[in-house]
Amino acid sequence: MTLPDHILQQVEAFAKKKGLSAAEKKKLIKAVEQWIEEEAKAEYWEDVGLVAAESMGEPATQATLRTFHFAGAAEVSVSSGVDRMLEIADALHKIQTPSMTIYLVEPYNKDEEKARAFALSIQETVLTDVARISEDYFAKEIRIEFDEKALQERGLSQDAVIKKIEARAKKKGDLAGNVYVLSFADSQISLEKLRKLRMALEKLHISGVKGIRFAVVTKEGDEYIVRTSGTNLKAVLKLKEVDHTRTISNDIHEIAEVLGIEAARYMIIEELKKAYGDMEVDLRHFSLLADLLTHDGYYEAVGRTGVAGKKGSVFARAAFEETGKHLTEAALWGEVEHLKGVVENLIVGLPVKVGTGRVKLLMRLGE
Amino acid sequence: MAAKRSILDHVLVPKCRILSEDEVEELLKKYHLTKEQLPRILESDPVVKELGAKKGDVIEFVRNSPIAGKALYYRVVV
Repeated sequence: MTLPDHILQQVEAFAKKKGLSAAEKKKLIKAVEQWIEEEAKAEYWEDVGLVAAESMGEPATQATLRTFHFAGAAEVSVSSGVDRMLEIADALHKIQTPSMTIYLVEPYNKDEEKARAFALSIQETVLTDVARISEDYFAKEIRIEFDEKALQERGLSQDAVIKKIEARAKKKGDLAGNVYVLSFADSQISLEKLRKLRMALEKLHISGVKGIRFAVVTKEGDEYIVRTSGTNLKAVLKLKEVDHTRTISNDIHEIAEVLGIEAARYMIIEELKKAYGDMEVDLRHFSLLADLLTHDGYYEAVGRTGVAGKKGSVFARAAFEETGKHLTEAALWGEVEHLKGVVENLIVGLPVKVGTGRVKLLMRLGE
Repeated sequence: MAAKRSILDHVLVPKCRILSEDEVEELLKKYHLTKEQLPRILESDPVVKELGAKKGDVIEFVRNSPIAGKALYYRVVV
């Protein structure tokens, strides 16, 4: 076997410090290899899954249920702790605090002004951000009252917004002061359609990147980065200001979709690390869970719809959730219980086939 | 925008390549596996698309693991 790079580096550093000769260094490496071979590896048939589950479950019971933490007022909030752990393990599609960390390329990452301008430019503006919409169903009118200040803040012109409105409504309206009126009095439009149009106008996309509700610039090391609330990784990666090799989102489903399942696996580990914070849990447990969650090529939950629902054993599935369903279905289809896993052996009262429970002894008679 | 942007450049995406048929055979023999027992990757996965892999191909990932240094991982395209 060969040692991992980081251990080799440590050996290298140690040898340098102690001034070891080449032969001594070789001996040291050999000793480390031997130690890993004998002591540091999991034993055969060790129940690594159970150990991982306990190691992650126990600190989770100790963790406070505190959901949010704010590091300064301008920071984008990200859920953490137990809530976040659950989100990751249950592979929730709608996470509480979707957020992106956008890295920028030169010169945007060194110039605060440019970074700020970029952050502002990706913030999504919908029509209700810059105008108030009201309707008069009797007169069949939709009135859009522009907020001059909001328009100015976002660097938009009234004409540009009106053009977007016209494109969506497929109709020209009249502008009086800062009130724009779409009148349908002369047409046979139904009230339902009018109502629908109003709803659509409320969410009309004016500028920025869809899905990004808020973006702030923070400093990390010697460069400026942008943190957002709301995600749209696919669109952001295409922007020329963005460093497409480092920008990430905390929505693991999105990562799986845009960067592939292996990237999602990395992200699961990273997010679990973040969620556990300073509670010390070995990385190996996280990576085992991450491997399991991404085993079938997509990101799935731990629960009955995901990993636990795919177990081979009927008893194991029935013991988890939906007992009746699994037992009747198994009876209907003539499933066989092989009693190979942990749960099913516990149920029938046999030794669990892990560790020493796996070993069979044969007695040699007559010697 | 100068060069074409590829998701394979992203830090989260490990180095990957499609294994040749001989290599696949060797791999399966080494671990006493059948192809169906390998972890999967969807045909619609962006990495698979970028590599141009077909159904049934095995992709090798060189993971940068903080525990094992470099770790090899294999996924079969389904």
